[in-house]
Amino acid sequence: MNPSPPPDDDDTDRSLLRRMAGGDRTALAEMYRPYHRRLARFLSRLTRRPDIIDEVINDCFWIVWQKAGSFRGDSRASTWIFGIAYRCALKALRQHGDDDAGDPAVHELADPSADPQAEHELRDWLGKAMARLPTDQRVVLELAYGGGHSLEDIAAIMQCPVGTVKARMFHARVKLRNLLPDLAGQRSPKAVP
Amino acid sequence: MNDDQPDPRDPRPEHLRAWEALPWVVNGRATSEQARWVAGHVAGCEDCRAELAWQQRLHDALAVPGAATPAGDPATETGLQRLLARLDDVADEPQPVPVIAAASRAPHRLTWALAAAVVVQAVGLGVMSLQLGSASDGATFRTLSEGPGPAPISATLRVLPESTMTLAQWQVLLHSLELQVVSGPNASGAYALAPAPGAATKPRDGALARLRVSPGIRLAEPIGTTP
Repeated sequence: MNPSPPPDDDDTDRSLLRRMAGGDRTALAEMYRPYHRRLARFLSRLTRRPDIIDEVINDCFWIVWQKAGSFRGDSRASTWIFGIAYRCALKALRQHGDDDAGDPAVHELADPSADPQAEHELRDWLGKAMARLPTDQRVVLELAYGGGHSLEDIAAIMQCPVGTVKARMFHARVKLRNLLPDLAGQRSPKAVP
Repeated sequence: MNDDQPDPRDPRPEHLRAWEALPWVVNGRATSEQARWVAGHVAGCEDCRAELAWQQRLHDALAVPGAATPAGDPATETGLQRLLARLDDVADEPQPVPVIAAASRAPHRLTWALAAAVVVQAVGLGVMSLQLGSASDGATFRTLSEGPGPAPISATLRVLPESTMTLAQWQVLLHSLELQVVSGPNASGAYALAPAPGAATKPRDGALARLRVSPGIRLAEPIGTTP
């Protein structure tokens, strides 16, 4: 086991939010820069359109700027921000049409077992496998492994019960094991029905 | 799914518990108690140990690198400048009247409306009073139960009581003489009297004589006749 710490510093984020509530644009820039990459990565699991990703990040931080003073601190600041981004993304996808980042052609799922040590190939291969998951399951896996969020944080971000997050994680793992049998260490890969 | 892999449908409770906890152990968000329990379990469970290794690989492949965006990253800086420009645009726009400000101005509008209503009402009352004044010269108000208006009562006597006469003495005197007050007192304190309704006789001369000898009456004289 090699637990990785959460990638964000909640105390720093809260301090920046307090400064933003007072109209400090420098604080906005300090918060924007580290979050831009994380949010872009998260949102890329929802859509492949970079223009929508940019729009959502912009809208997200617009709301963060407007609402910084009303952040009550019931959750981590990153949970609050990711929740805003998630809702902005859902809204944008409704407006622009649901250009889901999933469902690539099955033939794109090349077997990475030929070179399992190549990290970039693994990431690419896993990304394609992730894209075949239903959106809700893909988002849960991304938030847990990509964003390092806790079970409770993900429930707060997606505004759903903890049990729903557990179920989505369960099904995502099962499906990935079937999609990536060799990486999962299975001796006899099976096709996904 | 092979037999040598952890099966989430495995009925063993501890196996399911470990399977469910693995993602949060891998991403470092499990509680310390949960992490300790999983460590103990996987030490003796080959299936869960293999699943843990698989989840660790997934995590490592999906995890966002911890380093922040490099300073000056073009995409990030472009996005930030767009956001700041958006803030500037909104700051330059005429701001809509906040709800709370509109609410605070409502009393002013209400005051003006009330003042206007009062002015209109005052003008209306003034016009109405003028109309009533001009119409009241020959107008009298009667109820339907009333008969024809009584004939004007003509005073026949003028009486000046002493200032020491009480109201009760005055009333007894008028009653005994079948007289009524038509008007008065005037500036001198004198009253104009006339025979009371239903008086048996025209009492003026007899009443005048009696008034002149009654205690408490300073002056009594007839009206409308030359002495």
